[in-house]
Amino acid sequence: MLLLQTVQALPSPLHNGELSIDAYIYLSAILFCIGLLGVLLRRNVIVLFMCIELMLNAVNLLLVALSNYHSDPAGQVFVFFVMLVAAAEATIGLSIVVMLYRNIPNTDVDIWNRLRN
Amino acid sequence: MKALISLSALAILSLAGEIFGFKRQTNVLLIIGLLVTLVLNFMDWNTNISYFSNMMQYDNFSVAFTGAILLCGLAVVLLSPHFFKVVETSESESYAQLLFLMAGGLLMVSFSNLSMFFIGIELLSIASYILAGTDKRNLYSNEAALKYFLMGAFWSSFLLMGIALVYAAAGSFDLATIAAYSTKGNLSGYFYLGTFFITLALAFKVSAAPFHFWAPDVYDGSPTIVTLSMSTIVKIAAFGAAARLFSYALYPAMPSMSKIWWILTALTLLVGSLGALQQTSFKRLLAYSGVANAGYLLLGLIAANNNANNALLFYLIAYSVATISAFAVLLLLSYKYDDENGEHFKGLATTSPWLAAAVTVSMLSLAGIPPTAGFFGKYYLFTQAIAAGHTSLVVVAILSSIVSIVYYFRIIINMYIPDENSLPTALELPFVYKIVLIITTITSLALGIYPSVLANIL
Repeated sequence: MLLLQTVQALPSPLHNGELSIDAYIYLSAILFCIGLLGVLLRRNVIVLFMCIELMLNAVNLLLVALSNYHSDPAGQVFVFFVMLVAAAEATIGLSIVVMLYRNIPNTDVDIWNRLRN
Repeated sequence: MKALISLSALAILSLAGEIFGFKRQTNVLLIIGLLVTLVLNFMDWNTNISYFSNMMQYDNFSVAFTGAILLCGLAVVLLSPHFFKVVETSESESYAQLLFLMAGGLLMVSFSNLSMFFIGIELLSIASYILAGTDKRNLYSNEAALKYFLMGAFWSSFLLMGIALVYAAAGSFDLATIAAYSTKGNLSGYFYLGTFFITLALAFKVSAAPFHFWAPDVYDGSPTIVTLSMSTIVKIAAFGAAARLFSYALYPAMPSMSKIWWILTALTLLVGSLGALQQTSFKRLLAYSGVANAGYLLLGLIAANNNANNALLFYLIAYSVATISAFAVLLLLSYKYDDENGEHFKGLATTSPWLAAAVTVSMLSLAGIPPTAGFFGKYYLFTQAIAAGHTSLVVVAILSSIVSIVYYFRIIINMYIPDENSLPTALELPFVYKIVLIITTITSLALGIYPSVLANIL
């Protein structure tokens, strides 16, 4: 109930009958924070990986919305760069995970802490 | 621009070497190719042309930083063949990754649009994740690759968020447009938040405290030749990118962020020098020394103007040259002993006096003792920081460099005390190592005696 009241108290995201830019910024900030919390709290390497992708895609959403807001196509072009880089990063990340898994068959990141001491 | 094209062509050439079977000649080809690239690079001096509808701009700043990156890359390529005889990895693939890393570095010091900055930093990072894990059967190398990858990908999403927020405020990715927006005053909160996120991501990249935890582990776990390229090329590229970004576009946000910079710089200086005091492994010591040196370099970033960039370049060159000669000797010792402990430096002077002399010069330069390049590097950075009104930070930096004398001199003293376990014969010194050590030692001394050569080039 309290949550509902809080949500109703927020400024309306509708602006002249359309979603205003603030709504997109809130959404992408929330997605980014979910990804961030996932990276901080989860220990499975694959899940960490997915959370990082979620953070990147939150930014993609923001860039597309801003590009529309500024009526500037550069933001949308940037999203293509980001998707490309995210794909390359996923490839490298997964191959690092495969390399690790061959040596120690476990996907928990906490077993990889020999270097600290 | 010609340098970037030539470098990328060389990277593809070394991949082709694997396919078409001229692997053995790759090293020689790359040395010649990098020398050609250096010449091509310095032909762009004083031209200041922008490319690809203002995506990149080759001004003197980028030519100078590119030159530094290429020279460090050349040193790494020269030192590599002997290393690859010991560590079983595919040689030409590692070269290709190294060259892609350098291409990323080149983009990072010559961008004039935030999208090129992002592509450059990712190209550099992805290549360095692979390089950190090149020793596939070694668990330490595996761990270094995993840690570097997870942290790097995490912080690059922060960088991206920062770029998106700056875009939200300024409405463009172009550095000149952002600068025009930000000097107008009345900046929106998104601009400050975006600058803050970008600062955090760059602080990770340059291993500034409190984001330095990855650095000692990754530097320690990676193959030594990769550690060398990470502590020289990556550092030059990251500081070049930060200097370019802050002095070209984001400088109006600097005064309001001065508290954050103060904390970042002071913490980096203290953590770096106090951490280095406790290290026994020479590689880890150099990693912490890299953290401390990042602290001095942050002093040059705060001022965010052209003179400070020049001081930054001077110090980066002094630091890289000293690091290359320390690592060259470490590599020679690691071939003989198969580990990287600082122990083996004991009594080095009795059997190999010239190597000991080279290490001494490099340690003196890192500690900032005249007449070496490191002294003037620090002097210029401190002058710039005082001119920008950060006297309290300079006091912290001086304290930190006093502490740093302890651990650098510990190595020098160890070398000159005869040790009963010291080597019966001198270390085998291959020709290229001799060349690299002579050049780095002479450069350290020459820049210490004639600092004016590089002091006012930008």
